[in-house]
Amino acid sequence: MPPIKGLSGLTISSIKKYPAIIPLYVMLAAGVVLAASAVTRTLLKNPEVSFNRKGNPEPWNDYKDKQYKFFGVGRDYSQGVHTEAPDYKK
Amino acid sequence: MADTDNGDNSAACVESGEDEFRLETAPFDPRFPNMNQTKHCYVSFLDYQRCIKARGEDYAPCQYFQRVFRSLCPNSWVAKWEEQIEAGTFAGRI
Repeated sequence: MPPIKGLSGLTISSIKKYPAIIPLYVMLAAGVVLAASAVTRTLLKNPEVSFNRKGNPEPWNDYKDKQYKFFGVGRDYSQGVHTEAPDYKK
Repeated sequence: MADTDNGDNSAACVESGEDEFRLETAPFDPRFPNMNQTKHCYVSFLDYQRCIKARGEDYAPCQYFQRVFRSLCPNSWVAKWEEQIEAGTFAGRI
């Protein structure tokens, strides 16, 4: 087998020589997608993150009746959630 | 965590009867779902100050916020914030 110039596995022809690298690429891609979506969700949905500081200075108030966490450990989310805080602004 | 079905609770630690005490902490609030409840504490303190400013100290629903922040906040924080309000240096927008 002749030596390959540069990093092997970065071209189609060299992958064909070493097919064992393919699962590594699949897992790498999955990890990148997962990390990117987690960061994006945090930026857009997190009750402590607001890009609109003037218009929405208290972003947690959007979650008075909504669930942010995926899993409610020790808590039954199936009935829906609501805050018990009274609304004094009406 | 407190259940939602006993919604007629009146205070964090009150004498509700002749010699019966009821101890309870702040109920779950979906706005603050994390284990760290620091923000829940601060927002409740802020909401209490806003509530009594808007409705007066006698408005009963305001007591909810007071119960929550008395339960969640360290007493030293509350004392410090109240001092700052007195001095006019409190950072929050009441």
